[in-house]
Order: sequence, then C-alpha cells, then structure tokens
Amino acid sequence: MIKVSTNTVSEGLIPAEKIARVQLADGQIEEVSVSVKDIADDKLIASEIGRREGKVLVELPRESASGRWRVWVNEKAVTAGA
Amino acid sequence: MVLTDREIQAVIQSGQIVVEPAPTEDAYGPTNLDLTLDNNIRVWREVKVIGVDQSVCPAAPGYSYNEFVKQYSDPHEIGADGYVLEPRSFVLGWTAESIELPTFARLAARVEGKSSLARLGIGVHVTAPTIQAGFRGPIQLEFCNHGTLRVKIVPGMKVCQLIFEQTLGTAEKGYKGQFLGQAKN
Repeated sequence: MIKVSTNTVSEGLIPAEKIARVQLADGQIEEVSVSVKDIADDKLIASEIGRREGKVLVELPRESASGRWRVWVNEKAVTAGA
Repeated sequence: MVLTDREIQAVIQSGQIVVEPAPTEDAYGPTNLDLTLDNNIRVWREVKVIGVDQSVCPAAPGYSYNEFVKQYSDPHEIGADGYVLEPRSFVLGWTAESIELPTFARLAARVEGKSSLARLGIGVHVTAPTIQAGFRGPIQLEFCNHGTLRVKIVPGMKVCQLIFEQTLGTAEKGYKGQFLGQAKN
C-alpha cells in the first residue's frame, strides 16, 4: 500500500467516512469518499498499480466522484507504506 | 462461485471478511448475509425554480459530489418511529454494519435488495451493487420508492443482503501488496 498526498481531507456524510481531494498529474482535482480507515496523517491510503515517467498509477480505495478507480499522480505525491 | 452461509461464517471467523458489529445467527440465509439500516440518512431536496434549468454533470472538471450533496440534501436521523419513504422519493442511507473485504481474501460482494421491501416498490441501490475487493466501511444505500405506497423504514431493520463471490485470482493491488516489505534475495 502507498500513501497519497491530499489537497484536503474533510468530513464525510457520516462519521465513518471522509472526503479526500487528490491532485492528479494533469492538475485536476479528484474527489473520493472513503472510509476513515483509508486516511492516515491526512494522506489517502491507496494501491500502486504502476509507474511511468515520474507519474504513479494509483488505484483509489473507492470510485471517485467522477467515476474513476485509477488515476495518475505525480511521484512526489506518493510515499511508501501505510 | 457464490459462498453459502457456512462458507460466509468460515471466512468471517478466519478474518477474510470483517463485519462490525458481528452478524447474529439470524442474519444468514442460504447464500447471503443480511445487513441492517443505520439511523443516519440523507434526504434530497426537491429543487424546483420556475424558468431555471438545473442539471448535474459528474464528468465536469472539478465536480465535487460532496459539496453538491451537502448543498442539495439534508442529514436526517431516523428515530424509533421510523422514516416514511414517500412514493417517488429518493434518499441516501447506510448499513449499520461496516464491512471489510481485504484484497488478499479473493472475495467480492454484491449488495442486493430484500424481497420484503422490493415487493412494496423499494429499491435499495441504483445500479451500483458491487462491493469491490479491498472495500471497507459502511455500505451506502440509495433508497428509491418506485411504488405507490408510503413505506416506513426503521433503524435496525433488515434492509439489504450481501452475496459474496470468490474472485478468480487476486486483483493487481492485492497481488502487489503481497510482496510489499519483502526483501529482495
């Protein structure tokens, strides 16, 4: 598992959920509603699928607001371990 | 392959599926596990302004479902007297149970409705039944009253069921996770 930096982490619709906003490699912001257990130190716990040219293909814990499961983020936004 | 009640109990006991609070014995069916309704729901407001055409587009750049839902719906706590789903109404709800499906378990699940509610016109999800391998948390429900009756829902009632299925192989993220932390020899 990896940790992905977030722009913001806010309260979800219920106490068991948080809303994380992640900046993608192309600058877009992706929002995903996740379990509170998927957030650690304001970072999103996710899975790395692959790397290419300074970017990491990340699988989110749940489908994002725009319907994506996998997104490209900059390597700098990713740290190892969870 | 769909898991039977005995297999569901076995994988819960072994920690391959986590259900909190743990299901009682009467929560199992031959090939399903019943879940119950939490007392928190979210009620959509009806937005009607004459001459104003409003629409929502999840594909729009910067779209925030969270902001949208907080602006156009209200949190509601269902009391012991329940909440009435009016005909053609649509509200969000959650299961009282929190689920964890670790990727390594090679299991996924589908949330399905209960015939006790379906026969009254109540759907509990809108075409999004899959609980992916790796999921954790309460399951969000999308209540839609397709019928003509006013139907009351109460916290703790059996509201949906999970059908567990064995996956063929391990998802990419689970496969990579198996080797995290292992030294290269």
